Amino acid sequence: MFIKGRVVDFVVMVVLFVATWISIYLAHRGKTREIRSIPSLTAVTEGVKRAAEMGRPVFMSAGFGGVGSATTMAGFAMLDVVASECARLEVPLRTTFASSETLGAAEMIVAEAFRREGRPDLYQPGKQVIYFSGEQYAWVAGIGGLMARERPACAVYMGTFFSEALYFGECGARVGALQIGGTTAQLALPLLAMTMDYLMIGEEIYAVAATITKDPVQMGSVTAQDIGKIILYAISVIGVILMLAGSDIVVKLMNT
Amino acid sequence: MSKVLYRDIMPYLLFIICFIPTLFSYYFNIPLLSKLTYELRGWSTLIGVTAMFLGLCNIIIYNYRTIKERKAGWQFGVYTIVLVFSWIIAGLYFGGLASPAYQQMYIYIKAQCWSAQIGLLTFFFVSAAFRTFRAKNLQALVLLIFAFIPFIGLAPWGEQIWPGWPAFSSWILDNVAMAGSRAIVIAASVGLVVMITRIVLRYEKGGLVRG
Amino acid sequence: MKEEVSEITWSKLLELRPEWLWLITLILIIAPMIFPIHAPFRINESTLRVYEFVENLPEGSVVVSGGAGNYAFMYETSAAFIAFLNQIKNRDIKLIIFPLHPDSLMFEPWAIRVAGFDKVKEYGKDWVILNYIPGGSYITLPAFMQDIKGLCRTDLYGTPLDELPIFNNVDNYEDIDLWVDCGANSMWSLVRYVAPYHVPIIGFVHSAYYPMFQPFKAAGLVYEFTNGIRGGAEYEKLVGYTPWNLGTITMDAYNLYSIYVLILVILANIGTQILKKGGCV
Repeated sequence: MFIKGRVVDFVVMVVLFVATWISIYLAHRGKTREIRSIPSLTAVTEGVKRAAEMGRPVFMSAGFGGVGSATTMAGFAMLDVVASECARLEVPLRTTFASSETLGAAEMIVAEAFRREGRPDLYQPGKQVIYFSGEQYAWVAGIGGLMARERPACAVYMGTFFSEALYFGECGARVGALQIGGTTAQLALPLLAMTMDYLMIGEEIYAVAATITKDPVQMGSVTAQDIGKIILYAISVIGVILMLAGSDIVVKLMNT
Repeated sequence: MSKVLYRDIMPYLLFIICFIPTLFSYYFNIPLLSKLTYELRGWSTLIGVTAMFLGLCNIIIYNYRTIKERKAGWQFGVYTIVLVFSWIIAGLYFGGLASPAYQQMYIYIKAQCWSAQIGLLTFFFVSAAFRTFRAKNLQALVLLIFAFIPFIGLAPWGEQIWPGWPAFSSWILDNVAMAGSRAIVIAASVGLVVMITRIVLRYEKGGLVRG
Repeated sequence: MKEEVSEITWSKLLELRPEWLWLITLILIIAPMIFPIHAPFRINESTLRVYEFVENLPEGSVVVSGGAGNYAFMYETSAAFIAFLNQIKNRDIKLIIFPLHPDSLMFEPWAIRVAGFDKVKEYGKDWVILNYIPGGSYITLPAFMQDIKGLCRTDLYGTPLDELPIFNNVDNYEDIDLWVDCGANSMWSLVRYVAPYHVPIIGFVHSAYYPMFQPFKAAGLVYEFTNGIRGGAEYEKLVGYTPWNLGTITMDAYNLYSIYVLILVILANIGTQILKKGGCV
């Protein structure tokens, strides 16, 4: 019945599913684990304050991914925080997305953030959330132009990025923006490490989303991710030890 | 009631109907599931084409409004709409995507614009490297060393200085970098599974629901 | 006094405008194209493995070139792909191009023309370009592996596949002897939907993706990769090249560019340490 080589995949997936369910259930009951402080999160608030002092806008992008991407979801959580801070401090916000399907969701998030802070008058449709293009480098060219014209004091990038990370990282550095970035995309990580002032690597962006919102669903998800990683790393370590001892039982098990 | 049904329940049901057979057909060898998944994939292709058409309509409407209301940069709206229709006409009336006219337009206009944008990265890397790779502390020094070992390993002059450099650089990429890559890939994959679980359990609405 | 002058000089150097750095970069990239250096380079084991695998393909083998990605990126990987086309064009190896992205419809015919593949091979009998099926590679690849003619009814020019001689004996994954991917954007789909069918995959990938994909090679999902433009230059050397092939030209420019970047970084670090000693940093 099972397709060969996918039994362990299926078991791990089911375990993750159950772990997520239980973790979120426990989080709703108030049983969550403490997430360590992430410096980048504090930097976001400081960046928005810096923008307020300098009278310059804040720029935010959740990257190239579609609305179904986990990193884009984390980017939306950060967008919510950035939009709320901007509404509170009356700082202009500029957000761009490369995917037209994320545009609608982003507009909703920004409008809701401004409404929640009691400043719906500051929300201007089409002004805060800008769509340049669905093509990667056309979008990036738009961001470069936006940064050169508007000169943001703080730029936050959280989502899926590729080689364009170097491009807008440099554009941001040229205008003197405080840059905070985070992604799970391996291609963009070294480029963000070169150009960002604060960096979130890999699953730190999911943890940031949980820390920001304190939402039980997010907190429970972080716990479930940790459980999943522990299981997979344990299988890897046990497999390596057994292979060194001359037994390939773990490899055979993974191939069943 | 109808709003809840339309905006909340129906998108979720649609998601479950598509998700469950596709997921289980990856793990189980059940002919009925495979057939159902095959059919759903066909429908997904249709949805992809429809989404493309909707995207095109959106672009035209958005730019038309920009031009009509004379918003900032409305001239680019004119340019966009003219280009959109030029490409459509070129694709439909000059023999389709395979026609020499369309191919020439693509290669000599779009590809060159893309190449120009991507070529900028070459220059930006120079200024970024000059600004960033300064060993102010131990972490920066380690970053600098491990960044430049493969960088030099790829260059022909590197192997002229020391013939073992490409092999050493490959060792760094195949072992040290791969270990880091594996950790990040595992973490990102686990994150994706958890997110999908949240959608299945209706904790995460994301793009499924508007309003 | 001397130290102050030195600190001021270094300080000015470290604050040098990027435009000057870019101007020097431009000169160093263009100069080798006009005055080629032809710097020698060795062939990496990975490129050699790719070359030998393709060389050992039996006559009559069917190769699918299924890639996604954007055209502009292809300049880095097209050197290896064009060398691959050069390697197979004088042998009885069938090529099916299955575009996974609309840009591939432009890139692959361009690469075919540059390699002169269409001049020695007969379209429909030795090679074919299938139509692009929208929906994404996650949708189209599984269907392609199971039933090629069921997914793609016609080729790019509208000819039904049943009328093309190349498809007389090609129906599904069992008839595919090699899958090549030019560019890296579809590698994740290939390892998920092509590798389980034990079809060997060779990837002509960008340098940035090369280390990232090593786990796939280590797991046996992908046979081998070439490493960006350097891999392309090595492949050109193996198949026999003229000095003006893309990868080889770029190696000269990369030589100068890499030396320049290294000198800049060394200068930046010396300057930083001097200013640190002087208490300016």
